[in-house]
Amino acid sequence: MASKGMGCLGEAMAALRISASKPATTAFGRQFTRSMATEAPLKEAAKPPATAQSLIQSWNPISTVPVTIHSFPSLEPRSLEQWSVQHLYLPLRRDLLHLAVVYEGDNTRQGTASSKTRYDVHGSHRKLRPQKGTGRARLGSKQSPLLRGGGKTFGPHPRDFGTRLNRKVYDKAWRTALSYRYRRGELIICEDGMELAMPHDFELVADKYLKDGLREAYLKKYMSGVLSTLGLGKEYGRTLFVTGDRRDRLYEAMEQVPWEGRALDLEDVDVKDLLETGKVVMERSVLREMIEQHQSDLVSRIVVNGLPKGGPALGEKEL
Amino acid sequence: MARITRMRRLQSLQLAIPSQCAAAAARPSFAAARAISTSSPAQSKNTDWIRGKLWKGEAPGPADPYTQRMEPEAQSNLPEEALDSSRPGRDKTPAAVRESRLALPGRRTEAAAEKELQASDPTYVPAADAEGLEEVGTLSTWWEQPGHWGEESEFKGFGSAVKVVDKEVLEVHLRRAVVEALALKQAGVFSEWATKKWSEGGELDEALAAQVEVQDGKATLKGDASAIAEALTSEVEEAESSATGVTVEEAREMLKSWDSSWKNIALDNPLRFALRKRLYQLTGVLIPDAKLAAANTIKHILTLAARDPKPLKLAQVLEKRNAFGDLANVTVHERRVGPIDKEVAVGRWKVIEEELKKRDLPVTGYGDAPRNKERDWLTGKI
Repeated sequence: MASKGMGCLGEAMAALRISASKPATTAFGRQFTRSMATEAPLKEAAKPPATAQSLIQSWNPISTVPVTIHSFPSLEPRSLEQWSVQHLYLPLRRDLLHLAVVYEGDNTRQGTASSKTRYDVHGSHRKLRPQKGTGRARLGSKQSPLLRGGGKTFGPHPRDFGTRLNRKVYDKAWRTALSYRYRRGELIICEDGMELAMPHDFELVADKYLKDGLREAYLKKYMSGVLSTLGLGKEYGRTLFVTGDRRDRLYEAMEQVPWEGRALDLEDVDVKDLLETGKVVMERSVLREMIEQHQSDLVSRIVVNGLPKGGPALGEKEL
Repeated sequence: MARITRMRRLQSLQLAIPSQCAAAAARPSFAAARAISTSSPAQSKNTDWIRGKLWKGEAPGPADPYTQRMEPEAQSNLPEEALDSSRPGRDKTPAAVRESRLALPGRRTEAAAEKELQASDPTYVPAADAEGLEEVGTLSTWWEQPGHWGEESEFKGFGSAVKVVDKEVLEVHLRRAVVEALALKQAGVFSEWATKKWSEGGELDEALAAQVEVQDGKATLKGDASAIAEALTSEVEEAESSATGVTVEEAREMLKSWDSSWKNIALDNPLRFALRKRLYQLTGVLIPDAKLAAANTIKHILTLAARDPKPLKLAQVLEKRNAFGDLANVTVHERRVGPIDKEVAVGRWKVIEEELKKRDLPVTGYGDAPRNKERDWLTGKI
């Protein structure tokens, strides 16, 4: 044991000596060394011009991140808010997202597939033919699973496919999905009351005089134009619009162009929906509500000094 | 009452108000094509006998009072104007439809029945096929047809519709935005105007002529700051933005005349917000929040806003590196070398193509023949 220890020490000393002598031999030694790890760029004396990538990587917000609130549908930036990094700048955790998406999928399964066993199939249970003497195989009733029209042996029966996921995990996954969208610049927050403003000429005739599919055709063309102008259309990977409740014009228009994206109520949105499309456009109040509903891992229910410990503040207005 | 006269009146109505409908004038006049919708003429046969009984003989009026047909126009010697002025216009088009600039389809009309035509024109011969008939699409394609989708239906967002992609032009616009922000600051209204919409019609040259002096990340403007600020904050009607016409060459010239110190101006949150907004308005480039927050100076904004150049293809990289230049037996192709390429290489493709054409066979692909079904069987698709 002791000799082994000495050996280790010797090795360590040798390593030290090599490392100490390294600066002298770097120029010579570098051409022979080949590290197994990913090669990192060497630091040069002159600072290289910052690339977009390096700039973004150099930014490590500690407490808050900025969120611009736009008007809709013109997307004019109107105000600026600061949101906690706990809400909108969580690191990407694919495992959490996977858990959440699988959990949602399981709970969305209808689970109503049903088949009849031999005991459920209608009919008499009379013996089809005598047990012996016919020269043919023995047979019981005509509901036998071996016969056509008989029961199904191990068929599906209605059941609940739902699985469970810890509330805190699911909530964190939700905010991780939002953070992922924010970090990639795919989360666009709009002012409350998001609704598609239609041209005045259309509003004049829309309800009474555009019939026989004319109105739908108009909405389809108009919405396609809007989405391509704003960079939200199909070529940008579709868009999800999330509003507090149904907005007639916006929803009707999006129903005409399902290949360009979709519009959903807050209640209908899942983590999967947030991850699906190229861009996510939502109201400010929807974002607040989402975060409020999904911060169980940040908010404690334990009361200290008469007050429960709340999470970070929700979006504070800066400009 | 004759229907044709009403049609006339509608035409005259259009003539009378050309100024209001100037935008719609280029389109086919839908009002002119308007007539009362008609129902099936077949039912008149069934009701003839009862009309005969009721009226005791020849019944007055049309057989079907609800169906109105185009009738040959009653000839009149009066000039057009006299006819028009004699009957005051009673347009039944709803006010909303008249007011709206959308081109709506006219009402359904029905051509005169074969019998009536034959009665009026003995030389009439009914058509046996649809040759030469105008094709009219369904209503679902109405807005796709030329002339129906007008300017009034075009959406205009806040950002410029033309997206600037050249880095030099982007830099010119960014410089303009910076100068304008500094001008507002010097005028003392920046905090008020940072989130408001700046007037788009501001003079580009005026903004670019101003000098920016930078000391320790703090910038001051030399020039007519108040004029720039006034142009931004004035409530001028949206003039067509003439400033977007900066070509790449012009932009390069401009960039040469500025020293790069202005790019070192330090940013704070309001300035970042204002520059992002202005840049979106001028160039259509919207920098995401998460990226913009990483920018500390103007230079960083430029880096983040400019689009990365398209990466080279492998073949181009190899070409550039001259990777296999000294190997005689290696060639680099841009695409996969297919059977046609091989034939081209040995000079046989022309002959093959000629022979295929001679036999009326498809040169590439399968033509009308279905794909190889056995392959689907083998791969388990069917």
